[in-house]
Amino acid sequence: MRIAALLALPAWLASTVHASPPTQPYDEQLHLAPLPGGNLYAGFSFTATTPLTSYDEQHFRYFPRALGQILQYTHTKELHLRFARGRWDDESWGTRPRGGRREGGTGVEIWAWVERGQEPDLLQERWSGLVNSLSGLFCASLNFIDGAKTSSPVVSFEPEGTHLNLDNLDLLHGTLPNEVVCTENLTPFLKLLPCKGKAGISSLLDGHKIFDANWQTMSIDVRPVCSAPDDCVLEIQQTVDIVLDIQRSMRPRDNPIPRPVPIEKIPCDETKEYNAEDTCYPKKFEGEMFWSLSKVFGQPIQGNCPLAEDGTKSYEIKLEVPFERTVEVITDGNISETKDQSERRYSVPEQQTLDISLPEQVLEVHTAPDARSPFDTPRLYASRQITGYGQQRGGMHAVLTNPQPYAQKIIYLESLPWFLRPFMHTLTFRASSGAEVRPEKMYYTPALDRKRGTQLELQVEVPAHSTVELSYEFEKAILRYTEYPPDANRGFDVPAAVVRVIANTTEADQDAYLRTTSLLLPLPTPDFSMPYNVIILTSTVIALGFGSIFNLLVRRFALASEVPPSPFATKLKAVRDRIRGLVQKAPAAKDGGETKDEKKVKGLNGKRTVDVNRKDL
Amino acid sequence: MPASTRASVYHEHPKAVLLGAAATLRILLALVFPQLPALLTGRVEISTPVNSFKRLQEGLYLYEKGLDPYNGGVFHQAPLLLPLFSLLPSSATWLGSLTSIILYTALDLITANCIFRIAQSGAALISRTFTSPRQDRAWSAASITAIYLFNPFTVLACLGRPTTVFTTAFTALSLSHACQGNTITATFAIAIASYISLHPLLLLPAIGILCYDQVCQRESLATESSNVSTRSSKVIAGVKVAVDQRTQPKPVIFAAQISATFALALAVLLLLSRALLPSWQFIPSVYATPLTLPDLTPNPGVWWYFFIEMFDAFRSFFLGVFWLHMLAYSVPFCLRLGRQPLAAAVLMMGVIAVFEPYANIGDVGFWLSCLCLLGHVFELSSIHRYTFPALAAILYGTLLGPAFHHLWIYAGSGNANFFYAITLVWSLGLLILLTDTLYSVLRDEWENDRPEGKGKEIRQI
Repeated sequence: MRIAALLALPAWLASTVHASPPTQPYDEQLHLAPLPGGNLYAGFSFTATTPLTSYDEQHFRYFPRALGQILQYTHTKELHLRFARGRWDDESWGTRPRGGRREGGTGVEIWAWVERGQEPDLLQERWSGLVNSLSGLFCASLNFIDGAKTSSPVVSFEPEGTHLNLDNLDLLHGTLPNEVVCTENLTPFLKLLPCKGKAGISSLLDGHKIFDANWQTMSIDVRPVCSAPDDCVLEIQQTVDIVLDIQRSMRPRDNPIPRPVPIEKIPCDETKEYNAEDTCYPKKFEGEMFWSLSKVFGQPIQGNCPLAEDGTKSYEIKLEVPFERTVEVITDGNISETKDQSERRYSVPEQQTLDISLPEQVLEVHTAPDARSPFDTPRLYASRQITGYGQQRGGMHAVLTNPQPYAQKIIYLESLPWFLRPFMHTLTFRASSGAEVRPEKMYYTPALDRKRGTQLELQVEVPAHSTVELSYEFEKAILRYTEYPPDANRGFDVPAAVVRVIANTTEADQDAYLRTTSLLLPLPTPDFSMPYNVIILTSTVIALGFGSIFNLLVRRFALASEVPPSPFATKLKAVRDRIRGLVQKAPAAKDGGETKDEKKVKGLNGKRTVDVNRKDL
Repeated sequence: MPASTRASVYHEHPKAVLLGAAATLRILLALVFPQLPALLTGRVEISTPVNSFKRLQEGLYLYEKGLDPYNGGVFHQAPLLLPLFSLLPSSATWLGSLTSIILYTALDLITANCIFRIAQSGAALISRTFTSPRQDRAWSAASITAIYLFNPFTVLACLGRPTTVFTTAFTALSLSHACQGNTITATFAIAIASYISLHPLLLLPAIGILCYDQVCQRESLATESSNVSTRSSKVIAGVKVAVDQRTQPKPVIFAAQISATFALALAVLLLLSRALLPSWQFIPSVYATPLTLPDLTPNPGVWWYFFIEMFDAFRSFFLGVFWLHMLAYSVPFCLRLGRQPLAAAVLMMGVIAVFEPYANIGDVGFWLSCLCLLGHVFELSSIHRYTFPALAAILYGTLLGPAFHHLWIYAGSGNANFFYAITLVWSLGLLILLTDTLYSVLRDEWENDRPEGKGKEIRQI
């Protein structure tokens, strides 16, 4: 942890420089940008601050009390919480919003700096208290983040806030990749906002639309920000970043079921030779699609959240569209607009509804619309797959591609569940350039069965314009039958790998983060229906062995002739003889004559034969 | 070379020929099929969590990086193997793989040599107070060695390189020294075997009695009158020579000596391990893993599926029951077979091979070969018992085990019960063989006392 503190020092300095405390106690922003492929990026950001002194006195104004009390009780100094779904398609959408710093892996991800305290178990207790309280607050299964799902990355994360006593803080990180993020998590999220999603840009946040997105991530970040050692504020930033499919979101509410478009309504490509009344090759859509806020989000922005002290500005909308694009702003009030080559900004001071509408339009741009994205080329591409087949072993394979013309240092973090047992001696790196790649640093904590997961951090330099592949083998553990979820054959989720691209002082000033998709790991399954049968059958085999061995060990041998016949065997023999006698008698009675004399003779004969037999004996 | 010459070479130096042929076979297999060792290392029948060569490599990697290899759930093998294997070239290379094969072949040859010496010593036939009436039917030392060396289970285990091969080598070494009456060496060897994997501890009573028996024989030989000069002539004469009890070592003192030697050897080994490692964490990792079974990877034993399906509330209870069950055999065998201590040791090895928590076919191969040391009594089990069904069940298990494992894990067309059923059949077959041999050994002993009972029907009372 001390090393982490030392490493964190430059970033601490950087954060003091860059993160100057916002002048407004509450600020909300909306960032809209159409993306290629008929998608729309919408980034909501709500920032509230409160002076640290009033926070310590339990005086909350803009800061949500529910969250503040949890943080105070668990001695959490900095908190990052993420709810995410879907995949950011960085090959066509470009670099991630906010540098990936407000993004989480699929499911729920949480990391926090918690005060260590004096007693050895206090940290674990506080962390457990934190995740359990947040679990209740956000209706998420955060309480399942136990010791086996918690890790303490050394170099992957650095505190964003200013902490005066960083040595006393420990970073704890947990993920729940199988958590399904849904409306029940959005509602408590909105309740933390001062206007509770009723006014301002948060009125656009409707669960139906948010969770219909191709990619969405919600984040809550709490950090102390100091401009001077005694002038600190506690900042909470809540963001919602989504990528909506414009066509799908604009489906009318009264007809939400997707149906095939009637053929008359499809624009056909008439140059095709087979084009006819009943055959149609859909024409490729050209130009810009029509969309408006009220159509995409279901309603326009409902007024503003009037918390600004001077009342001049309450929210800002940033719209990234080319200069030539027509934008209609529909509102009764006054808005101020600034426009430049690629973006427009609207500041909305008044309590009015606001809608933005962009009509269908063909722009005379040099490049095809699909090739253009308002976001630049990403700093790094990362993907990860499980290789191999069968349920006994497999391999992990991660591909890291650097599209930039300069080498980049990255930190690759993997937190694996304990039932995936990696073999680090098989860890190999391969660069596309053929150059030898070696990790500069490696932090590895092997898993302990049922107690701790694997944690692997690698610091690697990815050369310019090249790809680095890293791979290792692993074994899949078989679990106790009570440890499988009800859908055991679906597989187990493996959390996303986190890649931190370290800021290169000449090219970029802030670290970027990206996360791979989470993976599905199939494990061998026992038969869940037969615990009793297994217990009985195995016990039978063991009893058979034990019984026959101890039978031989404790009894001694004797000649058969020396052993007196057991009383039971004698009785059995008597019964057998009697039955035999009856059987012999019965046929004799049948085929013989009917007279009594004859019967007597037979009886005598029978007796005689018996006597003969006795003599033989 | 004409056949007669070849035969004569074999008759003159059977051991050298066998060892040479076995070493050639193993190294050739590794050279001709370079993928074979890696394939066998991955088989669940050979590699278990406590002996897998791949996990050893992982432990070695962590050890060489300066981390504590026992602070994790993957590596559970004895610490002193680490410096040994770190001397070898990395097994990822062709040379490293070949070196490891050569090392394991050498271990197999040591074991074979020990088996040869045990068979030659005749300890299975003659003890201080007992001489088998069937000693003329004993199998020759060369054939028992050949059975060990060319046993498919042994060959596969050698190529799969589990660390239990070390355990078998030291167990065999201990038995062979016990048959020579070298008490200290035998105890030390069994201490090393117990250090590598816990269960050879259960062989200590049998080996102690074997040592005591041999030491007494030697003492009585030394003090014997001149008219019976050698032990063999005494045996052939079948004369019971009155032995002066005062010259014999006292059993209690002898047992104390052996226990002290064992404890001392074990303590030295553990302290040496501690010196290599940063903490004592290896003790729970190496010795508690077979006791508590945290890793339920399938193996040909009976524990794994039982504890997968066990209800959580009863898990600790049944772990205790299973271990007590294994412990329950050691002393009764020694008490009942006190006159044939080698038989007690071999049968105990059988119990271990069948009932150990992480069973593997390497142990079974070694046990089946050692069983041939008792070859003189096989006629009894084949006449009176169920040897054929048992052997058929073992063969059935051998062939269907890998097939059913494939159906479950890879093809997905069978479930875990397929492989479980086969492990049950396999254990049952081995158990029947074990029981039959026990019967034969006991009956042989009984017929020695009552020669008139030979070939007659008997009862147990």
